[in-house]
Parts: sequence; structure tokens; C-alpha cells
Amino acid sequence: MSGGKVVDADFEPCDAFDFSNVARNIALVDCGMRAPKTTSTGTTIVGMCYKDGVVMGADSRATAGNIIADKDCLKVHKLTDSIYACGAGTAADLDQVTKMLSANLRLNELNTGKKARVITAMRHAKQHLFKYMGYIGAYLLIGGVDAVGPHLYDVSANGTTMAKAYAADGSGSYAAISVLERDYKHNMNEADAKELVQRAIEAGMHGDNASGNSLNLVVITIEGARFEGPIFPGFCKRPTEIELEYKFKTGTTATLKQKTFKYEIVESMDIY
Amino acid sequence: MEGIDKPLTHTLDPTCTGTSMYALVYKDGVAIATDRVCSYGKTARYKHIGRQYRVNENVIVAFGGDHADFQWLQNVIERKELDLKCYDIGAKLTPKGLHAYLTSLMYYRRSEMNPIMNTIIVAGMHPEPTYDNLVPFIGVITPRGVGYATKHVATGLGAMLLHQNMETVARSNDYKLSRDEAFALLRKCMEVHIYRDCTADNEYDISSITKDGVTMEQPQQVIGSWEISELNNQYE
Repeated sequence: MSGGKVVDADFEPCDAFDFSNVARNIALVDCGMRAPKTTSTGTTIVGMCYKDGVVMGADSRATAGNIIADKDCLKVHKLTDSIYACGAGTAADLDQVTKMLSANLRLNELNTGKKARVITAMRHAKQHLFKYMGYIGAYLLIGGVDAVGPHLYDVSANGTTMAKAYAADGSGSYAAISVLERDYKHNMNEADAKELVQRAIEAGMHGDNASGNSLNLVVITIEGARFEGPIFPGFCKRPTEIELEYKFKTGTTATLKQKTFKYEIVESMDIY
Repeated sequence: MEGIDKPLTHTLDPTCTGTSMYALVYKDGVAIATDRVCSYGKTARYKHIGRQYRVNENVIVAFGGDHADFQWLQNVIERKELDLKCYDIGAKLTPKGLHAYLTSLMYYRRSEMNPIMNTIIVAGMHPEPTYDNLVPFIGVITPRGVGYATKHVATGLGAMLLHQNMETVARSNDYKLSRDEAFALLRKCMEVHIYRDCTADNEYDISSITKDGVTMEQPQQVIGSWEISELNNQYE
């Protein structure tokens, strides 16, 4: 270790995170330690508004480094009957944030006696995430239909929010957004919207190696939500097993000599 | 005086850069599209400049990355072409030959820690084995000197945005798109490119190389659809 260094770190104790190890971590990195990497889901999530509501979808691959940790991960989270959130980022953060949002929205509905609005979900998410300055790695697409109409909001981990007609997030978002940019039109019908969202996610599943395996869709209208999944696109289906007879016919190998041994059965036992 | 603690280093940061390039093999040949701007960081510094260079009737070279490095490279390529003509006036650089030479050159410079800060596409028709039988060829060279041949390519930010899109369309037709279909695909790539790349410009060059030679079209403009702006007026 060449040259000492004094790191001045003065942190007020607070209720959120415990920052008492920050000075030690900085010193360790200076000595040459590699900071541990945070794991993320590696995802393609897509959402778009259409004539009657919102269609959202996500792939189902969760990665830990280069290994697929979960092939059937559920990234489409239900917040209320008419509001769903697709999540990209750190898996644990997403689960906790969506559970918290779902609970808060239910309390809101009980307190006000009205159905929760999508923008309420977005405000709760934004105010929570901004407080933690991006350390909670939750990138959400919150979409749904409420009394005012269909909405789709893109929420970032550091608290940025945007209202969008169509959006994509996650590592596969580049490939997916180019499909949406090509073919999105205002006021599409449900079949076209579902087909477009599926194509966008498939582009992400093809082009991004951290997305794949299968996809889940949810279609939300004023009547409610319909969850569809898991959908296996053609390139994700396992090839059907071919049952072949692997035994050789008698007589395939020429017999030169034959000798028969006769055994006397003293005791027999069934072995299954 | 430079001592052992401060060795002489070469810059690794490009200054005026070109962005993505899109190239595609189609039924009759190769098509390549690039926009016409060189950016100084995020400023559109030099506009209306072409990023494709016609080497001879069979080869086009296009660049992304540092503009100055490519201007030097253009000079090198032109001298190589003339070197051949010193021995045989009818001799020409072939796309594969030029690609192999540039790959070695880029790798050599990278190993010297003085890289040529460009991504290069060499596109053209290659004689297989004589000029009676011309086969389309696209060769790509990364700034580190990795060279590979492919049937479709998108570089820069386009690699993340449009590579999959190009593959889906081109592969569904087995890379045998007609000239109009290929140009329509490249135009669509340029349109999505201006939606999502900050350093892109809407004026672009599109060229094709077939067995009849190189055709570099007039610069074209893409406007795109901005109806989405009328839908989004929310404050939350």
C-alpha cells in the first residue's frame, strides 16, 4: 500500500440506509479491492396504449451474471385489478417496491372509497424512489386504466417519471423500442396492439442475451385486466422428442456359435 | 523531460465523430446508408459531409468514429489503389483484399496503443474468382482491429437499436430483398435512428454496389412521424 490517505466521511445516522461502512469501502477500493457487482434481472419490458386501454408485457429470464437464474421469472406485477407494473432492474428491489405500491394503493382505495388512479401509483413510486437517490434499482413501467382513461408511465430508479404512449425498458429496450418506433400508431385495436407488443419483446429476446425464455402479456381495459402467459415464441420452443427404436433387429449381427445354458430355478423373487 | 513515470502516450479520445452506419446484402448487391454529420461531442459540428468513400467501381468504404483519422485512412487507401496500378493499369482493390489490409492496419495501430479511432465498413462486389462472377461482400472492422464479414450490419448506437430489426426483415426473405425493399429497410433504419440517437441527423447518403458498379444516390432527407407529440401533454 503506497502512501496513506485519510478519508473524511461524516454521516448523520438516519432511518433509511446505514452508511457507516462507506469510508471503509472507499479505502478498500483504493487498496485495490474490486467492489462487488450488484445483480440485475436483465430484461425486456414493453408497454403501449391502444384504443381501449393498455397492453404491457415482459420476458421471463432472470440472470445472475452469465447464468440464467430463473427461466420463469414473473416480471408483470399486479398493483390493483386495473393497474399493473412491469419491472426491470434489481429483482429484490422490484418485488419489494411493487408489494409496497400494491399495499398503499389498496389503503388509498379503502380510505377514499374510489378506485385508485394510475397516476397515484406513479406518484407513490416516484416519491419513494427519489428519497433513496437511485440506490433502490427499480425501473418500472406502470400502466392501467382508471376513471380518467388509459395511462402508461415510465418510472426510473432515481425518480424520473414520464407519461408515454409507448415505452420499453431493461437491457433489451433498445431492440424493443425500435420495433415500437417503426410500427406504433395511435388508436390501434387490441389484436394489433398485442401483436406489436409481442414482436417488440421478441426483438428484445432475440437481440439481448439477458432476455428470453418466454413472455407474459397483460391487456388492461376499463372492464379489468386479462393476464396471458407464459407464451413461448417459436424460437423458444424445445424441439419435440423423436421416439426412435434404438434396438437392433435380431439377425443384424451374424451368429457364429450358439450355446444354451439351463439354470434350475431354486427360488425366484420379483424385483421392481 | 519524460521519465519512466510519465511515458509518451497517444490520445485515445476521438474528437469529431460520425455515428451509426447501416449496410445490407440484397439480391443484386450491397446497399449502405450513413447520415451526413460529424459531431463534436453532442454538437452537430460539420454537417453535409459524406461518410462514404468510393474506392473503385466495386468497393465503398464507410466510417464511423473520428473524422480526421478517416481522412488519413482515405489517403492511405487511395495510395494503395495507385500502388497496384503502378504494376498493372487495370488492377483494382477488391473488397476482401482491402478489408484484410485495413484489419491488419487497425490491429497494428491498436497494438501500438495509438489506435485509428474508427469503425469501418468495406462494402462491395468481390470477384469469385474473376470479375465475371461478382459476389456481394460486407466486411466490418472495429476500432480494436477485429475484422469480420457479414450479410447485414448496424454500427454505433444503431447496433443496439436496429441490428435485430434488420436481421428479422432481411432473414425472413433469406437476404434476397429487391433493391426497393432493401432501400426501404435502410430508410426505416435511418428514421428510427433519428428518433433515438442524439448525435444523428436527418440528411443521409444511401449507396448501392452491384455488378454494374457503384451508385451513390443524392443525399436524402427523412422526417419521420411526430404525431406522438400531440398526445403527450401530461405533467405529473
